[in-house]
Parts: sequence; structure tokens; C-alpha cells
Amino acid sequence: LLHNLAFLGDFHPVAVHFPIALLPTAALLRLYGWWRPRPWIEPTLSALLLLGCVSALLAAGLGLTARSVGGHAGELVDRHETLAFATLALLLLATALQLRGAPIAAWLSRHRALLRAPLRMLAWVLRLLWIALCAILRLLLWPLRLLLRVPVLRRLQPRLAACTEGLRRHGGALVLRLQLTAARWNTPPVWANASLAASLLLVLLTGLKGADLSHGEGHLTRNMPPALAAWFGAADAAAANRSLDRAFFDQRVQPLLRRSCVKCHGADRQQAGLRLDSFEAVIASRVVRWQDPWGSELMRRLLLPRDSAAAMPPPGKGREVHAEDLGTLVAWLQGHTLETLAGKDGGLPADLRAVAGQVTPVEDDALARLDDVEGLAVRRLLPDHDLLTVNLSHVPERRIADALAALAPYADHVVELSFEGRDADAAARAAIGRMRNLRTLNLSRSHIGDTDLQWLARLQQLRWLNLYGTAVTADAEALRTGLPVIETLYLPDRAASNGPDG
Amino acid sequence: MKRRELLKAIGLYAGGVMLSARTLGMPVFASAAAAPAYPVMRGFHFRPRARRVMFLWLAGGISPFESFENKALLHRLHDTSPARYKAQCSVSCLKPLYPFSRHGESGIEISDRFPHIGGVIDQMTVVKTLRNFAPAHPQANNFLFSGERLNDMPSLGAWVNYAIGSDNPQLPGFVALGGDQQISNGFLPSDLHGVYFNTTGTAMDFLGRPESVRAEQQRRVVDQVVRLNRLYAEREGDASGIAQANVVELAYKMQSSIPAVLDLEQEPESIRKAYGVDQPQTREVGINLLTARRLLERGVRFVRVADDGWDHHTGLEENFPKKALGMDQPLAAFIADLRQRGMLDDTLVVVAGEFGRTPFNEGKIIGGFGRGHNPDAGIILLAGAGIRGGQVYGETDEFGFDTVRDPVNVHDLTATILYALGLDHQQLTYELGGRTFKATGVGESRIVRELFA
Repeated sequence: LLHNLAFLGDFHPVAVHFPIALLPTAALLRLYGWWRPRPWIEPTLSALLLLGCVSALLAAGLGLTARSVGGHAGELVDRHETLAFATLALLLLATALQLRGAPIAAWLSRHRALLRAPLRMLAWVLRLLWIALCAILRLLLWPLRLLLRVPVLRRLQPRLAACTEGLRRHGGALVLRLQLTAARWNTPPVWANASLAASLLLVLLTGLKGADLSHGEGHLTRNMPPALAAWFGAADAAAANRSLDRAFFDQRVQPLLRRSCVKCHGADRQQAGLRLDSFEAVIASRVVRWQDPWGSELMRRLLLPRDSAAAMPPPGKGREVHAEDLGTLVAWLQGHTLETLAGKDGGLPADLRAVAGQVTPVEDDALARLDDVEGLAVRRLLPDHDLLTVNLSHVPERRIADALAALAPYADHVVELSFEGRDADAAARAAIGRMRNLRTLNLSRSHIGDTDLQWLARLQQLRWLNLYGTAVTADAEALRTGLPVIETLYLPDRAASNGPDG
Repeated sequence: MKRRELLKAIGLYAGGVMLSARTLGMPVFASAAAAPAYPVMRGFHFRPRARRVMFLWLAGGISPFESFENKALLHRLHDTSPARYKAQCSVSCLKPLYPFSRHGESGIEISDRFPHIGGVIDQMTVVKTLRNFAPAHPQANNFLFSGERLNDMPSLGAWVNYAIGSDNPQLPGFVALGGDQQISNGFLPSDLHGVYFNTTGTAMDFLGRPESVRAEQQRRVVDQVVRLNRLYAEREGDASGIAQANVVELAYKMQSSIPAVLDLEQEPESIRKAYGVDQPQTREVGINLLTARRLLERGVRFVRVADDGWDHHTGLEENFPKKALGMDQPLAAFIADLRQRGMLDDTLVVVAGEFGRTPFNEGKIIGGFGRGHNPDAGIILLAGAGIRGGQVYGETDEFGFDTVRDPVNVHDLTATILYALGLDHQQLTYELGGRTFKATGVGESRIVRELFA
């Protein structure tokens, strides 16, 4: 039954606007009443406050429902709740004083002594404390007196005496004044106004916290000029979050949020007022902090033990965030872009990036099917690209043809190929020759000789070629002429020949 | 334990015993590739520079001062106790024992105990600021290889094996030579454990087929053990069954693949000579490094070679030259060999002890020379896979006692090795008991990109 009431919690944000509107109106009316007293003011004020009380009680009830049934929790919610209850208490007091002000005042004046007693006691305590303080001071000043016996210092004595005396006299007066002030404040209208002012202040604070919950923290300072926002001391995090990389978010972070989080924190539903369905929403949400992944609430929730009540996503709903996803999030929050994540020069050189843009996408399932060929190892060069690095060196001789056939659809994708110690027969050479984007080709110890070298010329993009341990006798010069962009060439039993001087 | 599970466990155990007693040599059976016990990575995080790694562990901790760290101040303060280090230096300063000279075009200073390394120094980066967290071997070793202080956490080779494994189905992804410490799979699936090969005698204990067992018999046993393990994994939803089946299958395949790989007679005489296999002093490291090259060439991803005996608290003047002699020529030959074959372009070579040693003479207590452990400044040699040649990285203070610039702590080294392999240490993780583990432990670590050209 309780859970059927969860929907009521969703009306809390609607209900809160009534007390938020009514209370400031009442306060304004009170101010107006001081300036221009009118007979209609007091009844209107009473009505406003009464309505404010009713709506505040309703809002508080709905809020409690949202909290206990709707599953809202967290530090911010706690603060919002505390403030709300303080507001409610003060509002009830203010209303009571407004509506029944005269009887309460009468009662108070009848029992004035009752109220005075604690104030008197306080005054006495203060006075006793003062006497004790004076005694201690005098005790401390006594050695100084001895010192003052020295003729030169004697002149100081009257001034010191005046000082002590002044302390005693004015101190007493201070305590007396405190007592009088307290007595003067002890009148109903003052209390009524004070409680109204206090509840006004609190309702505004509560409202701000509540808005933080529904719109994300820092929603007010989000679009402020930075200088102004800094003055409010709030904007730093949200502004800093703007440095988080959008492309990284779109490509790597958003898919995982969509899979695991957006059902409850998206456009349709915003549990705890949190939205994670767009870059703007995420960076404004304050569950992320730029360059501080481990200080981000998002990471904290994801890393909590799965049986913790605050762990996210709630276990058992099939929306688990995987370990790789955590790594992705950490990298993003650290401020990585896709390029820096790939490493300064660990990313693709420009020519390969161009190739990556041209080739058709390769599905992971398709790559997995290549595992069926024994010994064939195919991997993506980088996670977000469809360029492949292929190792045929451990495919058994009798399955080389199968492996090359399986690779045929990806001839354009292969940019690195190991073919060490294999037999490069005519069919194999033809298949490798079709891999026109090859940058790196390892043929060391493979069975090729000078007669087979013509096909290499088809690989016009080749940068790195290893012919160590083959029967090739052609010299570096001849090979380089056929391969326009070759950089590194290894030949049988000779030192590496880097550069044209070989 | 339920009765059913107990019976199952006993059944599996019996299978294991049968296997270890009766593993034999047979043609490799051509089953489809074994299903791994964990998800396979389909792509790299970075563009990989290294396809494989050789990590030469100078176990005990090589002294920087007798190798790459020539501190003039120590010559001046030799046999004195400077006030600044009164606490650490209960005895006295100890100067570098051997003369240094500059090598290669880069002109890096190397002691005269390493003439061969001097010849390939232009292919290497010397890091002088390795930082480990503990000055005691067990903890420092754990930290160096697993990034954790605890025993039996997954070592780096197992992490690499987990991420990209071996390209060659006939060989393991992670092999240890010269010592079988620090090669645990830890909590990672058990088929990722480093495989230790003996360097003398038979390569692996119990790998061969006893003569009393016929090949078909062994094949039947292996098939059954694999089948039972897979059945167990399937029924109980326990991936360790798959891991176990993979281990058995791999062991079976290695019966035929390993003898050929480890047969150094197949290498030409010139190569064997270059590695120093023919000389008694260089034989051990020579065999290990030559074997490492042959394994790497055949698709093993990570070879950890251990060279023990660098812990010279005393007798430094007597024992250091022996160790240096044993390692110098084989390591230089290994680098040159890789270079000639074009393998240095995609093989990362890492040489390091678990920590450095102090600039003080601990050996004086019993006479002679010796140095204590110093976790604040150790030597790493790096080569291959795009590592900048002829570079010195990091700076120590005038005593060589602490790092003053560019420290490379153990986690940084691990992150960098993974980076070279195209792996991001932040993304290479394993979930265990509600925690996300990585090879670089807890806290910040830095990929030292400056090490690469």
C-alpha cells in the first residue's frame, strides 16, 4: 500500500510553491502595515498565514512521502528536510501569535513573572561570572602593583587603578543593559514579527535547497558571469565541469549512462532530482567534478559495495555498470579527451586517421567469429576505430587459406600484419597484396624469396617491413624503390637499415 | 559442503592427479580455440608500441653505484661519515668501486663492469629514480610485480596475460625463466599464472609422457579431464572449471610445442656464442635470455627472467663483478639480437631490481664492502618498443641516496609497461569482492611518456 503512495511524493514540488509564495506575501504585508496602517491588513495577514500553514503542512507531508517511499536520500535531502521542519515550526508559531496574539499577550502579561524568572537567573549568572573575572584580574594585576613600587613606574599607578575601576563599573552596566533589553523584547508583537521574519528566511533557504535537488546544485549560478558567481562562492565546480570533454562524453560516457542510469535519472523520471541524460545535465549535476573522479559523487555511488543502500545503480535491475565503464568514467572525469586518452602520440597518425574515416565499421561480433580460425589473432588497433592488427604467425599451415579467406572482407581494415614463419604461397601473397592500407608487415622467417617480391609493390603505404630470416637477397636500395614511403626495413642477417643510407 | 559437491570435488582431484602423473607427448589435438574463463579484449586502449615484454629481474637489487651512478661526492667522502646522513650512515660513505667511462653517441656513463651494455646503450634509456615503497625484499618484490604489498596478488605478467594473452595457442602468454617467484595469477583466473620453465634438465617437470603410457591413453585422459572440468563449470556456473580445463589443454599442447622452442641447439653457433651460452660465467643468463627471445618470437606475450644474487650487503667487491660478468654480455647480445631481427621495434625490454642500494658501506662491519637496500633510488634499464635510445631519465641527489627529479615509482613503471602494450592501467581492471582491482594498486600513477621517443 505504502508503495502505491509513492506517486504522491512527486507532487511535493508542486505543493511547496504555496508556502513559498504565501510567506513572503505575508511579510511584505506586515511591512506595509507598519508604513501605512489599514484596518484590512490584519485580517488579510491572518488569512495568508493560515493558508501558508496548511499548505506547508501538506508540502511537508508529501515531502516525507517522497523521502520514505520514493527513495530519495542523501546529504542534500537531509539538509532540505531539517530546514523545512524548522520553517514549519516557526511558521506555526508566527501564525499562532498572529491569530491569537491578544489572548497570548494577556496570558503572558498575567504570567510575566514566569517569563522573567529565567531572564533574571541569566542576569545573575552573568553578574557572578563578572565578579569572578574581576577577582582573577585583580589577582593577576597584584604582582604588577609590586613592580609599580619602582619610582619611575609609580606614575602609572593611577591609570591602572582607573582601568580596574572602569572595568568593574561598565561591566556591571553592560549586564544591566542586557537585562533591560531582554525584558523589553518580552512582548508578543515583537515575537510574532521575529518568528515571521525567521520563517521567511528559512522558507527561502529550504526552497533553495529543494531547487538544488530538482534542478541540480548551482542552478542559480550556472549562467552567471563568472565574477559574480565566484562572489556567491558556488559556481566553480559547475564552471570547471565545462572543461570536461564533450566528444568523449558523446562517444564513450553517454552510451553507458543511457544503459545504466537514464531510466531513473532521465527526461521522464528524475530520481533525487538528478538527470544524467545529456552533457549539459551531467556537468551541471554536481555529481561529477572535473579532474576529481574519486571526489565525484557519481563514482562514489558506483563504487559502493553492491549491498549498500546508496549503491548505484540499484542492484538486481540488470543495469550494472561494468569495470571497463568505471575506467571510462574515471578517464573522462580526469579531464581526458579521446585524443589524450589514446596518448600523446599513441593516437593515430594523420594518414591512418584518414584511413579510419574511410573504412566501413566492423562489429565486435564479426571479430569474435574470426576466433573460430585456430591461431588467428585479430584486434582493433584502438577502441574507437575499425583498423585492425592481425597476427597470422600462429595459424597452422593448413588453415592459413581459411584465415585469409575469413579476413578477406576486412582487407581494407588491416594496417598491421604478422606473417612470421608462414609459407607465403601465391594465394597468400595475393590476399596480403589486397590489404592496401598495410603500414606494418612482418614476414620474418617466412618462406619467400626474390622471385616473390613483385607483389610487395602493391602495398604502397608500407612503412615497416621485416624480411629477416627469409631467402631474400635483393638489396635495400632495390626494395626501397618499390615502396615509396617505407621507413624501416629489416633484411636477412644484416643490421636494421633505418633511413635511405641503409 | 553438500554431498554432491564433495563427490564432484573428489572426482576433479583424482583427474588432476592422473594428469600430472601421466602427461605425455602426442600430436597436438586440433580442438577449436579454448573458451576463455573471462571476457576477451577486442581492442587496445592505446595504439600498441610493444607486442611483447621481456622483464629481466635483477633480484636482490643491483647497486646503482657500481653500474650507472657515478657520484663524485662519494669519492671525496669515501670512508667518512657526513653529518647529514648520521642516522642512515652508521658506518661511512662508500665510493663507486669501479671506474666509469662514457659510452655510445649519447655518452652515458657506465662502470667498467658493463662493457657490452656500453655497446648497446644508444638503444636504451637508463632510469635512475626507481622508487619502491619498502626497503625489505618480500614486500618490495610483491610491490614491484603486483603493485600490492600483500603476497600472492596477480603479478604484472598475469595482468598482461589477462588482457591480451598469447597469440600462439600452443604456448602460454606468461612465462618465467630463472625463478618462479612473483608469477602468481592471484585472484585472476588460474590459467593466467606464469608458466615456469627449468633452464637445465627437462624444461618442465612432469611434462613428458611416461613410457608406460600409450599416446592414445593419455589423449583419452586429457579429453576426459577437460570434459569434466567444462561440465563442472557449466553446471556450477564456476569459471574456475574453464580455467582448469584450459590449463590442462595448454599443458597437453606444450608437450609438443615446448621441446622445439627450448632446444637451443637449433640456434646457430654465432648466436649461442654471442649470448655467452658456451661460457660458464654467462651460461645461466645467456640460456635464459636466448630462450626468452625464442619464446617471444613464437608469440609469448610476457617473459619474466629472474637473475638472483644481486643482494650484496657484504662482499660487494668480490661478488658484484661475478654477477655483472654473468649479465653484461647476454643482455647486450639479447638487445642486439632483437635489433637485428626487427623485434626491438615491438619488444619492450625492462631490466630492474626491486630497489637500489645505499651510498654507504654496510659491509664495513665485517670488513670489506657492501651496500644496504635503498627503496628511494634504483636503476631501471629500458629498451625497445619506441623507448628513446641513449637517454638518462631522473636525477638523484649528490649522494645518489634520494630522487630529486622525475621519480618513477613502481606503479608508474607498471603503468608505463602497460601503456607500451597499448593498455590503460586505469581501464584494465578486475572485479573482486565488490572492489575494482588494477595492476597499479591504489592511488595515482603516471604513465612516463617521456621515456618514449
